[in-house]
Amino acid sequence: MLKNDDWSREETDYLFSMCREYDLRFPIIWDRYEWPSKQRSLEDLKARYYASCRSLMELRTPMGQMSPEVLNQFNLYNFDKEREVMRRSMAERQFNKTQQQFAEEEMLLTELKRIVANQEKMFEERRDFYQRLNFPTTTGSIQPYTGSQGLAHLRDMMLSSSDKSKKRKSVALGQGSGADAAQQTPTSANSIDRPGIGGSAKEKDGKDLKRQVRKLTQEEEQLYGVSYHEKLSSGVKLRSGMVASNVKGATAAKVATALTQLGIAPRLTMPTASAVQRYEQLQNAVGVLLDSKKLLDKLEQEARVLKAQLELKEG
Amino acid sequence: MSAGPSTLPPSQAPSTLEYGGDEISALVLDPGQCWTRAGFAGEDTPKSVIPSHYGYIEGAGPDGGRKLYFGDNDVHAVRAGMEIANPMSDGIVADWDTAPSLWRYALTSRLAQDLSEHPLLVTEPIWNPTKNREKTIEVAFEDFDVPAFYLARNAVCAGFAFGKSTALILDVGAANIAVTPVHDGYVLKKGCQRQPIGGDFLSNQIRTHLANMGISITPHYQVLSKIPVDVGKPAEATLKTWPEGQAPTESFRRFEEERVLTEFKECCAQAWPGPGPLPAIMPEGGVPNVAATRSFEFPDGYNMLFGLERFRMTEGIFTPRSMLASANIPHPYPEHTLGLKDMVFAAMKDVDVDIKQIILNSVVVTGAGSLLYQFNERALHELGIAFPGPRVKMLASQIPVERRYATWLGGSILASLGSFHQLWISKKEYEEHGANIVEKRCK
Repeated sequence: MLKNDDWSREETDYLFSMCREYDLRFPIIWDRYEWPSKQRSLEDLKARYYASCRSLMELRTPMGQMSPEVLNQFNLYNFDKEREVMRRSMAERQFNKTQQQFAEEEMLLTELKRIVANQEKMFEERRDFYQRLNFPTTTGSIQPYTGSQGLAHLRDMMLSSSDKSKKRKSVALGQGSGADAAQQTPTSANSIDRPGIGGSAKEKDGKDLKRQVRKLTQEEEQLYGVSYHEKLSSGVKLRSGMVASNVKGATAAKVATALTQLGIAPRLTMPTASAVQRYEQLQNAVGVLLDSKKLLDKLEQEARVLKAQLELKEG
Repeated sequence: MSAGPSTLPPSQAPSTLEYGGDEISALVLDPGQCWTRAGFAGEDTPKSVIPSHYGYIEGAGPDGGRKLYFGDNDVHAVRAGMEIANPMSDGIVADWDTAPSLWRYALTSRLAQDLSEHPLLVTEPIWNPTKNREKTIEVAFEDFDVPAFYLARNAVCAGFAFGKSTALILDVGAANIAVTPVHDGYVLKKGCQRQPIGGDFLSNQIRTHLANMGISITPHYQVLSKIPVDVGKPAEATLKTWPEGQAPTESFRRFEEERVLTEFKECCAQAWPGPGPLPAIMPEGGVPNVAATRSFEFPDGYNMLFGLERFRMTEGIFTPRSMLASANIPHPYPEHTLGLKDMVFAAMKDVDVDIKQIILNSVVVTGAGSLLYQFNERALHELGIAFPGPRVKMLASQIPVERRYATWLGGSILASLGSFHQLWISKKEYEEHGANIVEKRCK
């Protein structure tokens, strides 16, 4: 298995002693290699060395029994001489290139880049163009939109969709401002941190305290007024300012007016936890009522219109 | 490179604290063709730099033998019957009778009293034959009785001086210009190139040119007094005379003439900055700005303006075919000599293609000869022609001292490294294995 017609045992031993001597620095081994009546190229030496190593590894442990690391090593020792010779001749050619050839190559590369970029641009333009040529195909029948009422419905739909897009915009803006806020917070945090030299110590204390806290039962929680909040921003706040309103947008204003009509102040004079909770529930209830009233109004209106149409048809 | 160590008195080894406890007060010896440099490892300049030339008077020694004179002061002193010789030839030791004495002088005159207390690192050129290497270790252990020894390749050391273990070393010495590729601290032997076109060649070129112009060189020691004369007018100097039999020898005169030539080399000689070789006939429109004439005053007061000749004298390094030839002044065969560019090209030919680019990325220029004005600019042009594609990067210290002593400095760095200590050849190992151990250990 280790035999090679071209390599004698003595020469192989000599090669291995050189490899040991020069720590596998093959350029140096090749430089110092002297064996009578043999002219070895660097690839010859490498090929012989790695082939011998592989054979030896395989003889010691059959390939099937090798551990993954050893197998990996075994595969790494696979030296492809032809490929290496080709690579080196290419490297040689690259090395011998003149400045003009380098300049030409560079020019061609930039030219290629330009062409590729242009092609992409052209493709995009073409796609755009085709899209413009294609008229939108209708998917459903246009029957529902033929009448004046249908047209009104269509108009509503379009308006609402434009509303949606507006909303989307506003949401996007809101996010933008949120990002701004996020950017600002670290600076404020810094300003807080800076004066406190023992800030880190305090933090540590806080952590320790947290660890020491024991779990309270529900009664105890009520007794001591301990409550858990899902979202809390830093800083001290009044509970009255924390009243969350589940109703949003136009309904919120309507809820407020409804509440003033009922003679309930927009701010609670005594915002205990339970009071705030009840207040929120009230707000929600009013909101739901208002919404259902609106829906009812709309349905009544439609019913009236339909009745009128029926009368017209009958009449 | 702090100023600290240089303020120490020369006979004192640097303190151990300064070098992290690795200090073993090793000595570093860098024998060159023209100068022999010695100093303590870990310092930034050799403290003892003496000419490799020595003087001797036949029959004046203690037992009727030769009396030897070493060191700048003694070598240049005017003595009746003192001959000047050089134990080095072609950058390696040729005269093993004198070289050990010269080295001993370099090491003991200023540095160490007792050589048996200091490990010794000696540098050698790549072409040093095995016989010489074995002789060197013999001298170190048997003559100097050092506790440990190492023989380092000077190209590797020069690379270390620039912090490079992979580099192409361009060493412009007195005897040779050597181009050596080094990879990972090992010299690539197949790529080593050298040509006898170093500093001595340059001096001979100048000598040839002056001879062609009919200018004779009068060394300093011959001049008693001189009067200023106009450019090109014959000198009006009073020369010293010596009684019969007391006159300095011919070899001393030649040695002192070399000093004048060195002065000329430093003041006037200049490499044609390129691009391209020095044109045989200057284009119409006059000499470019760089080629302005310079005047040089010889020791006897004779002075002359030198223009384009300044480039002609040095062009032989780059294009050997255009070297100045003369019948009675030695020079290499122009046809068989490679110029700098061809040398580098030949050196890189047998280097593995994968490391070529790394090697060319740090071309280290060292040797006092490279201090020739605009040598680097020209060399860079030449390398650019030889290797148009890859980026050739040249490393050359702008400090003349570092350029002259780069090899020594590299040896100093090497010997002061903690990880180097395992490489020393100890006296015991030498006694056990004999002189041949140097071949096994100092690759």
